[in-house]
Amino acid sequence: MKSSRAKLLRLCLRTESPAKALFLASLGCLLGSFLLILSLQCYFDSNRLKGDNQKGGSFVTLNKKVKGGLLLNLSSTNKAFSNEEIDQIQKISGVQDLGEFSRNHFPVTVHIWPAGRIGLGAAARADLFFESVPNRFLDQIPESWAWEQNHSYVPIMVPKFYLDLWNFGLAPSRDEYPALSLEAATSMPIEIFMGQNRSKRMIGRFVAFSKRINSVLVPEKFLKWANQDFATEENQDYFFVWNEDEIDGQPISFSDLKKFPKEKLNRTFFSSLDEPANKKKFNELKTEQLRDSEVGRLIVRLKDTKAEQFFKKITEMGYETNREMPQNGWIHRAAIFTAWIGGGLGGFLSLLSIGTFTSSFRLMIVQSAESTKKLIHLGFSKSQISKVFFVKFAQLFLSIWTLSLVFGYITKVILEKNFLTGLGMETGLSWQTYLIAIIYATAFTSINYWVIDRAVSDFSEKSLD
Amino acid sequence: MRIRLNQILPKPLTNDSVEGSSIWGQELIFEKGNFIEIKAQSGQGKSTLLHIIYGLRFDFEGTCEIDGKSTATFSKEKWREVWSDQLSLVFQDLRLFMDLTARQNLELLPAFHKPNPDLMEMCEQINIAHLLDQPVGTLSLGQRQRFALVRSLLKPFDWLLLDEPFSHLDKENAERTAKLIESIVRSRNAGIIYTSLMTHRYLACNQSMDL
Repeated sequence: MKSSRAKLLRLCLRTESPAKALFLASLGCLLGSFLLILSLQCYFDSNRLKGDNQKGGSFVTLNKKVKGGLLLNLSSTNKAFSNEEIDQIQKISGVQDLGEFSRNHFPVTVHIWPAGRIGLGAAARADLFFESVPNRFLDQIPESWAWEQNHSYVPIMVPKFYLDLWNFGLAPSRDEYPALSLEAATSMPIEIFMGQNRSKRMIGRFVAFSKRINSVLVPEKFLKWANQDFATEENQDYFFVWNEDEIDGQPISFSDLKKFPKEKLNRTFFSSLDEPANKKKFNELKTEQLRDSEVGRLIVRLKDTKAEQFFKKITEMGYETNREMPQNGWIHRAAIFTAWIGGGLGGFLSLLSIGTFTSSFRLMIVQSAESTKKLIHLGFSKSQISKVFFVKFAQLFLSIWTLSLVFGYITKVILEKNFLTGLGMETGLSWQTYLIAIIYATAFTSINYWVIDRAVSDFSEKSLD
Repeated sequence: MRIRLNQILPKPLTNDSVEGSSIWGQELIFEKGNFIEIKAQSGQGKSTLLHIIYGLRFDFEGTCEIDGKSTATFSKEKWREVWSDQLSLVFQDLRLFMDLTARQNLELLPAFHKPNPDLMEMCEQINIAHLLDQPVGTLSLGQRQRFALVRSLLKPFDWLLLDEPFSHLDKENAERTAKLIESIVRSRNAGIIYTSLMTHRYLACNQSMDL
């Protein structure tokens, strides 16, 4: 039976492999490569998530702290930012940009039809709010975000975790609501009822899921239009009414104040519940009320390097921030630290396995020195002999490397499905991880090729001496 | 291919032991196409001479030249070229791979452009065709010697170097083998340098020298 020359060469150079050493080297290499791949993926995912959250800097939403009991909170004056306060915030070191949230001034009720058609299946019904921010603060602006009055539907952007709450909270507890993929969620029709007695009905759709802003966002243009047409007297701030130098009776709501005769309004003083001694004319109250209804929350873009100073200052000023951002920073640092530790350990194990592989292959070459000598004297080249050992190494290493990639991929998928849901991570390993894994494999293989080649050279040269 | 031995004196040999030698300390030129017989008793340096020509030993005085160039100056790459294409040597210890079958030992060599006659014909001529698929380790010394000779004939060469090629063969097999060698070497217009004890001559020669 005719055998290929490569096979015959392998037979000639066949030696008893140092099985224990090769097993340990393979195990070390598998573990090392696996840890390296997973650490790299952790590093890239962490950086990507940080990048997604902080495109062009860190974004933080600000609002005033809501304090006190029910009576005190009948007043809204302490919840809004004054122009002076906004100016002060803008002057804090590290603030790159500042935007104001606008909100709806009319009741909104929505009916979400998860089955994909209005009237089909059960609808999720909720009283809701809308907010808008300038587009430059959005983490994504889909084409359908641009709204015009003649458009057939209203684009809505909600936080990504709303979808997760639906899928992992609401849907499993209610048979009538299916779990939704991103695609399904964006194709659900949403009936929007606006104004007193639901006077206006429109259709909306989720067009994007924000990872930056925790709010139900609609385009600024739509909100402005809707506020003009459907705004109601919803402000329920309460005020003391002064008669001469005394407070006259129970606090009265702002909308009830407006029912006072004009003459009485002009000569009477009013004060808020949290500052009862601070008497104001009705016109002053009206201006404040208008502003209060406009700016309840702010969004700020920060320089990463100045973030800590900013948070310190904001805390001193008594404002609240969206705490997700600093937490993200901590998680990011922890992930990077874990990646370095894992990568370091993986690298160390890989280096050890390189050492064990090279010594095992040197031993095999030494054991086959006599055969090597015979082959050289028959006219075989050194590279033909090196190739036999190198192919043996490459087959073993490539199997281990492929296995470590498969293990890395499976581990990442398991982590995604069980522990990292809702972060919007890409499935499996990223192209950067594959690229570095290829570079790692090339380096590992090259080092071993060099060692094998050197060892064979040593023996072939001895044959020539 | 021309081989020139100029005043060669192997270091292990003493001046006394090489006295009267027609090779050691002499100037000799071997032209391609010649059949050279080197006769000597055991221990006179027959294998040493072939190893010097084949580039396996450099512990000698004088120069060995191939095509006018001292073999001491040959690079490793040049030697590989020589071993692969120009010289073919049958070692006294044969140097076959014992774990491989006879056929595998023969097929291991880099394919020579259409050897004529082919492997099977050669083996048939010297009565070893039926042993082709047996591991070499199970064969007798005579059978191994014939396979080693066939292996050397399958290679390309200008000179065939044979170290006591018939030492393990009976008369009949030695004659058959010698006939095969002679026909192939002549058909390639190559030369032979072979060593032998002072016994029967199986191969024809143009020149016979006592070591």
